[in-house]
Amino acid sequence: MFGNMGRILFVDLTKGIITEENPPREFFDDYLGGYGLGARVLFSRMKAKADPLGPENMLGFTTGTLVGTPAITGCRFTVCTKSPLTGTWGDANCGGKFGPALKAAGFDAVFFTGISPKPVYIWIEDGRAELRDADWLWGKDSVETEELIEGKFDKDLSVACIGQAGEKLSLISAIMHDKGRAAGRSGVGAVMGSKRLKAIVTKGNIEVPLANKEEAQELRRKWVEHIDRDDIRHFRKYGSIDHVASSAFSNDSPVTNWDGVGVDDFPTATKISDDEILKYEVKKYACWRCPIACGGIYKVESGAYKVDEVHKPEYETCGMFGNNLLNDNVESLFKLNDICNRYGLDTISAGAAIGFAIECYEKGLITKEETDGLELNWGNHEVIVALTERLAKREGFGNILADGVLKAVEKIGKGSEEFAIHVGGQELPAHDPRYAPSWGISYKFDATPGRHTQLGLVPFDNGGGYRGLDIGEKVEKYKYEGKGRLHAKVSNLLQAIFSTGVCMFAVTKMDVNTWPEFLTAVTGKKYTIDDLQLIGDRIAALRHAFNAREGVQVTKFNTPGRAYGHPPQGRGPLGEVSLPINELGKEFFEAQGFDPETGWPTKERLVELRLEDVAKEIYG
Amino acid sequence: MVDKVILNLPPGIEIANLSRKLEIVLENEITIEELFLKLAIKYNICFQKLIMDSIWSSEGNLLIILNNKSVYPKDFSHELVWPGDVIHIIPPISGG
Repeated sequence: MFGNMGRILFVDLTKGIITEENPPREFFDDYLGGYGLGARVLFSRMKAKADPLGPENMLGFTTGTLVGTPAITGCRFTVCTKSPLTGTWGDANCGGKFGPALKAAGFDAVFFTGISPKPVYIWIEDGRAELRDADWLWGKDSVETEELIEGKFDKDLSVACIGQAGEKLSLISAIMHDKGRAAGRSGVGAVMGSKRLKAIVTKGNIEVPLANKEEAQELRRKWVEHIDRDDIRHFRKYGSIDHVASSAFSNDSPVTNWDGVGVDDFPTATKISDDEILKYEVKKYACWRCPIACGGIYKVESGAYKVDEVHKPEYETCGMFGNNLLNDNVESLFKLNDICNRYGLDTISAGAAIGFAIECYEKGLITKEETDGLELNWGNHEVIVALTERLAKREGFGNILADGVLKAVEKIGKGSEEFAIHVGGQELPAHDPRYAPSWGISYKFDATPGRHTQLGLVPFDNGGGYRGLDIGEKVEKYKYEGKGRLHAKVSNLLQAIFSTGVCMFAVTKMDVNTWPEFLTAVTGKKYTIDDLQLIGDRIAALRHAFNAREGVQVTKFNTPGRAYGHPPQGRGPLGEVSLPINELGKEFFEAQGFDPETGWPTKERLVELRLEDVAKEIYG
Repeated sequence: MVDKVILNLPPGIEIANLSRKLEIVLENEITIEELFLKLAIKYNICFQKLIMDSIWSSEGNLLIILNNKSVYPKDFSHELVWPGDVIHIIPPISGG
């Protein structure tokens, strides 16, 4: 089966039984991989209303048709589950080498159900898999876990695992890989922890079968030449940290829990951005065979925040723990990133939770006695680090924050919901919808709330686009008519592309025709942009159908006023912006062929997309 | 009386051996477009390449924050810069 291994593992952790299934070619053609394939499996095999932390919830690790192939950045894996943070469809994805390694071990995906009676990990090697005792790993952080596994066996392994935050069911916990890469969002780490599954370990050298290997390699040469450009060299040097300061000054980034204005309130943002971060880089880091290589390995030689060989913090981490908290101590950002990576926490949600706590403290909703003696003030990096450690360990007041801001509101009360900046329970990432309104559409109306990686129309909002993609209409940032409709179209197309297992950054920088060309060479089946559009339409509908079956209406989710300009901020670069988000949502869902009141795919639309079984289950 | 405009430049500018913070002496108000042309002449192709060429990229437009207000490229030809103004040049972002 070209492009795929044609093998999927299903693991019942309660019974300790592993089975293999071999779906037909059409299954991979229709969903490609990633959350597309994940949504198909979870919808078919899960019942509605499953407890996200119970045995009936499924946890899927999927690759994609382009993963492990010559396709540029074909390296990502996706984790899919019913999110314990939001109760909706949940997904998160991660780079590194685990995706290709899972295919090299013989499988396109592995899905878990049940709860193991004791901690286990799964060993997958050369087409075989077995569950093994993980008592010796339980309680270890994610870096220790990988090092212990490498030390006991060999270094030619790939590991995805949870740290202590996932073990302790923190609803903002992540699944970690390569000692610092994260599938961070949706609380996927808690689901893994609830199943007492500590790690997935892969080993093998099985090649992905390619229909036209020479053509795929020639395409790689062609597209690598295509990215021999100044902007790519710039991105290789900096990665996403090039705009930490500029995003503070444009207010793309949150400042003081989404209430501040960067230029006025955080003029020292330049101390935690681009070249100031780069000073600590000791070597470059690239995900599996990535020619862009935007990552880096960092070291703080001495001092309170001494760290050895840690991954470069991404923009989101610097935005949420830096700009958002007025923290201009760059070394503390490496430490905070390392704490989150080791314990296995989503840095976006963790930074947001700290910001929420500081504002609650400053507004008098909580006292020093309640925070275990910590004085929570903006910009106090020592307190921020201390509180993050307590959050990671579920210690004291940290335990209040360890399940995200929505749960913290339930415990603190006193009107604290005003300071909880989330949609549907998921904390918003460090891009302000007022800066690029299409982010606001995704945050509110995607099947997974609060996801910045559902880019959709964002580059068009900002005056650009995707190379090679003509959407036939001019987009203006604050011209709202048509935006919901166009966002639906572009977002769906991207959902198909992302499901192949390629990197979002590459998708923003490469010609969009890169992906159907690679798919054609890899599978031997001719792909066009129109084909990917149809697949993306199907994937988007299926993800939303998952929510529909749960009875969840994303249209009823809260709209955090600060992030949408309700009311307008009144100062700063975005001070006059107020998004007509309900109108944007109505247009978005109508363009999808969904009911704009509920956000649910209509029966007719599901049938049109060859999802008859899904239509039948929802509508009878 | 302040007669300078403070111009905060984005990362990557060191290629052109420019400081990240430029102080530009102005005698009178000029448009942003005129300011950029003035800088392009002064710093030759380095400024043109790094700033003018990046007004459009696939990731979006260059954005100017002028005294804490957003100014978009369509307004560069008539938005005035005065002595004492502070400008941040915001490059297109990749969404990370």
